[in-house]
Amino acid sequence: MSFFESHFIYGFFVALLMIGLYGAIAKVNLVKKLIGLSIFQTAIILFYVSIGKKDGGDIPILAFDHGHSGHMLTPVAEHYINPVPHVLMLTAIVVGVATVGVALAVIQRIYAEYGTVEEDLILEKIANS
Amino acid sequence: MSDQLIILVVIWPLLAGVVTSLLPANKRLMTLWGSLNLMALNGLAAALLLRVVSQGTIIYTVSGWNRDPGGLSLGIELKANIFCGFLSCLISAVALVGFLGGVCTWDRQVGHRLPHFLSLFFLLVAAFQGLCLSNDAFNLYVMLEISSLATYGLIAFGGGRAYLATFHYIVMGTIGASFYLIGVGYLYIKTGTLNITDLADSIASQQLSKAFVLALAFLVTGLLLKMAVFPLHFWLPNAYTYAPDATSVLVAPLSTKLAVFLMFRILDDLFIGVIPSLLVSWSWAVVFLASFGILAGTSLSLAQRDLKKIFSCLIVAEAGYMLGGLWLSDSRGTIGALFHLVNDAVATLALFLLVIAVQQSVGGRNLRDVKGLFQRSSLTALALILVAFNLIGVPPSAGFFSKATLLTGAVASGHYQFVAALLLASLGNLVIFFRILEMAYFHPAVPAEGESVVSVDGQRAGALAAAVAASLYLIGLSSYNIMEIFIKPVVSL
Repeated sequence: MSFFESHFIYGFFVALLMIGLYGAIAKVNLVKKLIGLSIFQTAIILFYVSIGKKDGGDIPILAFDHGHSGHMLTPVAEHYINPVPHVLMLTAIVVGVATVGVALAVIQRIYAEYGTVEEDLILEKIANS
Repeated sequence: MSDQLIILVVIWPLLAGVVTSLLPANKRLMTLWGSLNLMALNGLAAALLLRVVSQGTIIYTVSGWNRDPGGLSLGIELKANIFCGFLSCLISAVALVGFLGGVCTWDRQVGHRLPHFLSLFFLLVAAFQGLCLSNDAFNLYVMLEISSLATYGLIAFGGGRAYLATFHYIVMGTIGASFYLIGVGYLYIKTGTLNITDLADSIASQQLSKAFVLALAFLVTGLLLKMAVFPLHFWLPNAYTYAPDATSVLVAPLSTKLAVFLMFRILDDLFIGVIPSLLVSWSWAVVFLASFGILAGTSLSLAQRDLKKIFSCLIVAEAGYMLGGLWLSDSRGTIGALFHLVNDAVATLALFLLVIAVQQSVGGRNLRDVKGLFQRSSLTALALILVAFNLIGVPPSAGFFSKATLLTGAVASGHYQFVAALLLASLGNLVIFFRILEMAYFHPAVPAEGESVVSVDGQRAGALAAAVAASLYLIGLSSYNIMEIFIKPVVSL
């Protein structure tokens, strides 16, 4: 495998990460900030999921012998991809969903309070009040 | 049963939180229910501490996922060494006192959504206990995020300006936790485990590669955000100021302190095998950052006129004390930082109880509202003096001993900029509290419309603040024992 092939995913991960970070920090619109934050979190999920990949690895479900006896075949770890990072990311996805949910609720309240979701306009209104 | 003690400390407040959300919004019922649960939690944490003292470090595998024959850990582990046990007791105690102090502000600031508010409150306590006791790097991330999510909700209860402050906190908090997660990912790639004990062994047995350095950089940056050290602090003062008072008495004393504890675990548990070489090259930069943060936090605090904001900015400065102490690469620095963590948690609790007491007895929390506090409420005034002396560092307060230990460590390791920052910040604290005390003592109270009697709530909050502030001196007087028994055994530097 060439360097590009084996390391492409890391470059992609870092690029996504930076796009997300830029959005979360530099955007003025609160919803766009939140979208940036989501991209940032998704990049990390992608990174973790890619860790578990093995060349020629199968899905990590224990295989059973066909027929009536149903004997479990002896599992060989090399034949399966690593499920642990995937399971970890299930939790991280839940955390991400909860974060976005709370953030959207807060944005809704901000809109009700100030009538806008542009941060500079909100700060202007706070300064004038 | 007693084997399950450690998991009960985490699960009890979690279950209490779930049940709380189903109860009716009756203030008396909620007070009773909340204080009973938190007292039970205090009992459990005390029993856990006793057990750790008598039997040594306890390791518990969740759902019985014991280690495989090869000795690698399969499930999540909880671990309580003697400092974890002590910290767990501290968290429970702060939660109980903070809860009782916040009761009188419910009517005004929380209203009919009380069950939801308390549900989040308990969730936050559970997450703090988890952060203190978990021995799994990914589980610590989850606990970090649970504590943050509960805090977002609790702060947003403040309404008005709290919403924007909450949003900033969400963005910065999520970025911080995500950085931590990336760091854990790098460690997982290199070692194939998430258990902190196994990670430490694996790291110690491998060559120090760039991946480890990068992992440490991500972990530390993420936690610096969570700790609100100076250039990464801007989310904190507004979030804590506009939060309801019942929130800030729990969040302000513990939230940043647990991030400090996590930083300690990363430096002292995870990287202890390889750190000396790495630490020396980094410590100058980090200690410089911490020194700068101390001065910046203190000056920020000097510029404020709102009592709650003054104290919130002080938290930013205090984070610098502990960060600097941990990175001095001297055992006295680490011991001082951990002792300062204990001292600062109690002192911050006293400060924010004081805010409630002032608000209840004079009806505002601006600097000019403090006028005549000595005539109006002597207990609140006493609390103010006691906690001020602690933050300035007058013996025999806990603040004096923690700063003295930090200073010895800083001098021994040659970080003189940290020494200068500590001394200047103490001077700054003197000015900050002199301003408040001068207002409270020398200026006569502005005669309000006929009301000269302080409300019962104000008296109670003042008494609670004074009791907590007085306990700082107990901690100070027993500082030698606390450091010898609870802190020294866990510092392996």
